Amino acid sequence: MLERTLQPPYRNDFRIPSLEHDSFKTATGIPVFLFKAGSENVLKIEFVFNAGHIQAGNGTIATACNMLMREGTKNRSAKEISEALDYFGSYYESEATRDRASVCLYSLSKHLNSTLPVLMEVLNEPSFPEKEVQLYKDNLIQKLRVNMKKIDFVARQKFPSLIFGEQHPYGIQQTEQSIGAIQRENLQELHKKLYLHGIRYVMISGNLGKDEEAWLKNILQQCTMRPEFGESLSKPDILPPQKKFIQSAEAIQSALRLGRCVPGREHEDYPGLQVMNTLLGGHFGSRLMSNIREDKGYTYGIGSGITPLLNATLLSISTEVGKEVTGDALKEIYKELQRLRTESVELEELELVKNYMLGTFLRSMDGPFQLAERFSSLIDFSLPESWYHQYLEKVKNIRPENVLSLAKKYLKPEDFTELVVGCE
Amino acid sequence: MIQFEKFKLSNGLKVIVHEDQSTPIACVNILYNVGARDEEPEHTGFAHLFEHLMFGGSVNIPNYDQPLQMAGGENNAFTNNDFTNYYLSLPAENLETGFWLESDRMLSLAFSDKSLEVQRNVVMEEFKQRYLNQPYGDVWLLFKPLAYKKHPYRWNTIGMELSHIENAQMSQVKDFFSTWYHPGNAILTVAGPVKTDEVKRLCEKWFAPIPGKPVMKRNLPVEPPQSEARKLVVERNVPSSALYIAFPMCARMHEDYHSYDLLSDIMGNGASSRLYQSLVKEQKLFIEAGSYVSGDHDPGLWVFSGKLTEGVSMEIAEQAVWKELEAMAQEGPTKDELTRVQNKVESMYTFGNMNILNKAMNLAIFEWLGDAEFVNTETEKYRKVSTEKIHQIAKATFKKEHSNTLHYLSVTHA
Repeated sequence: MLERTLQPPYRNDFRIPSLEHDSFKTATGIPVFLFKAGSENVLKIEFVFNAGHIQAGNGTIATACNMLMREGTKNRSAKEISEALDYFGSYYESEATRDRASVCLYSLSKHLNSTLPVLMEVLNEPSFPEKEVQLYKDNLIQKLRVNMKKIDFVARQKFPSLIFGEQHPYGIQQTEQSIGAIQRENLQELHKKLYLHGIRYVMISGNLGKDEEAWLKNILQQCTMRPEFGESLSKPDILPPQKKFIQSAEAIQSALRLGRCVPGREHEDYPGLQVMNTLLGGHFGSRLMSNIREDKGYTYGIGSGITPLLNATLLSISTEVGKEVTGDALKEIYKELQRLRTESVELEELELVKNYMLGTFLRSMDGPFQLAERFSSLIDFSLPESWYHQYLEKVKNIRPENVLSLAKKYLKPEDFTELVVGCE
Repeated sequence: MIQFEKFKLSNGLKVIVHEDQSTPIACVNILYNVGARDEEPEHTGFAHLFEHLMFGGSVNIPNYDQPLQMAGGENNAFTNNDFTNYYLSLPAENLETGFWLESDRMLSLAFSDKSLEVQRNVVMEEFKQRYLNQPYGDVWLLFKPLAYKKHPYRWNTIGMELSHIENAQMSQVKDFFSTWYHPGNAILTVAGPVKTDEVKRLCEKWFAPIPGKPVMKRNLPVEPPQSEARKLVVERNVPSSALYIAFPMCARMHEDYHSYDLLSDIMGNGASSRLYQSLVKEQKLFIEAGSYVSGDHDPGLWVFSGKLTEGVSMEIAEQAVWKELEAMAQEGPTKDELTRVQNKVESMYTFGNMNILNKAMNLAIFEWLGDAEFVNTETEKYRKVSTEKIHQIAKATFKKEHSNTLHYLSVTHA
């Protein structure tokens, strides 16, 4: 008779794929990393720059510069650039986050010689045409108005300013005024300073033949962009904890955000904090999900996460709940923090969370694109290649008493900033 | 080229195995051939609510998530008009835990009252979060009943109204399970660094003992041909007005499907598409504009959607869209436009194969459509489409009397 009530044996000593890769430096000193693997003949080339919110001064201008580069060069119009890239089925992706900016090309390897030159032109010679800048500003203002109707957008936008202050790039909010203030001249200046002189590295992943590789290396060797270190970045002054309510007329749900700063990846508490966070709200069966969604049915989803930034690390909880249960949901969230501070976690629950984290880590290494991403986040934080192994070992060795003492240290309700966006 | 092996258990369960030794992760995907189109008009939203209940414990395993996470795994599911798909991924070493969990909930659920009560609430919060408390969230709640009159596609997966979910009874849950959740109505895909023989052994061990049942024959109402233009005008407190125009199109497995799909790509997918270039960039009438096909199993919709620039009148915006549609109907696409979107499709499929879960899911969906092998021939079908064919389809489709139009007008008040 088949035993259906007992789980089949399982293990947690998974083999972690290696981050083995090739690397070289270009004539101007740009580090280039290559992750060659995969069965499909596709390639991802990512150029990474010191051009995030913190380097550019604020997110609005950083993103505008990043997005508008593809809207025209000395030789091509926005339409010609889109057509040239689309014609060969390639994808262009770019973003400016708090700490960095990137421009990325996904291409079938066989079309690389048609697509990469277009990308190089976009990186080196964007012209920021006045009419494109204007159109971008007009449309962005209108999209911002739509987004400001969404309680989760308002919460996401406001919350960092309650932690990092309205003046620091991590906390500055996007407004219609800040969009209106974008000038073509600022974009040109930023591009020169942060892109032409602020490239950090190039990350290549996927599958390419010998000839393609030689050709690609040659193109990159000719790249005139320079990696220069800018001035050191300002650390935010963390504001004292506060409670804030923002009225949103007609809302039938409330968006809740709670959070505080915690030590970052370089700190000895970090692996334990990640375990504690996963336990609290970092997976589907977490304490917050089990209580507030699965037991009470207050929400479609609730989660917590740790966001490591270069100059601060944020622990935050977020959810949207029915407006009539806003107070009850907050009470339950604090109750879960209290439980972690006062009751030692059962060994079985702790093991579950640790195994889940190891599995999640393994899932984030599925194929060359993801391996390259894992490696990027080490470089971004100037961490050694051995970091992941040490981190995973530390995670495995976390014990209930470690979680308890971390919770006592970091989960005091009076240390949390709380934001509610909703209708009272 | 995705290699796979296909076999069938004696209880009717179809199994597909794809070996990929380059990833550390194994995926188990189960597609049940039941979706929102199989619901009664008085009990809509049920297929999706049921998906939630599948996580509320099965006959021998009180909690689905915990043991999976203990084995380093993660899971999710989605419901659409046509089918319900469950998937999990976990370190390949622990594959058997996936078989244990999925086979037990195919065998039978725990049917706990508490789970039903809680998931009713969760789904109602989902309804509010995604459809009611979201600018433009109710567009499809309004638009589907306009575009479909008879076919069950006239309601959304989430359901027609909150009360249908609120009133769901345990007896209905049990009936639904017994009708649709059994081996003969499911497709199992296993992908990752696995061995086909081992997968066969695990299938025999965990799934073969589940009793087979006769497969339910569908008899869905057929949507009658549309012969006159339909229009709905609503006012909402949103910053930009929005315009939606939908035309009936063929079913997913019809030979014209790929032409319709490419027509939507040429017209409205991405920065180089006609609608974006003309309406957003040149004429500045819209802040967003695009087109797509619904891609449903039964005859579906070809959809234009766009948000208007502030200050632009709906009448002018609508005229401009029709001008683009008519230009395509009159002249068809250029050779370059067609090559461009065909290349895009090729790279989309190739990039999709970089992810093991995607491959597992695609194999299951193509098998559901008729044959898993379509996963390898789909790009070719897009390649065979000609400019003439797209021209012909545009001409037959973009007619006023086939149009369903939604004016979603911005009325801002403080």
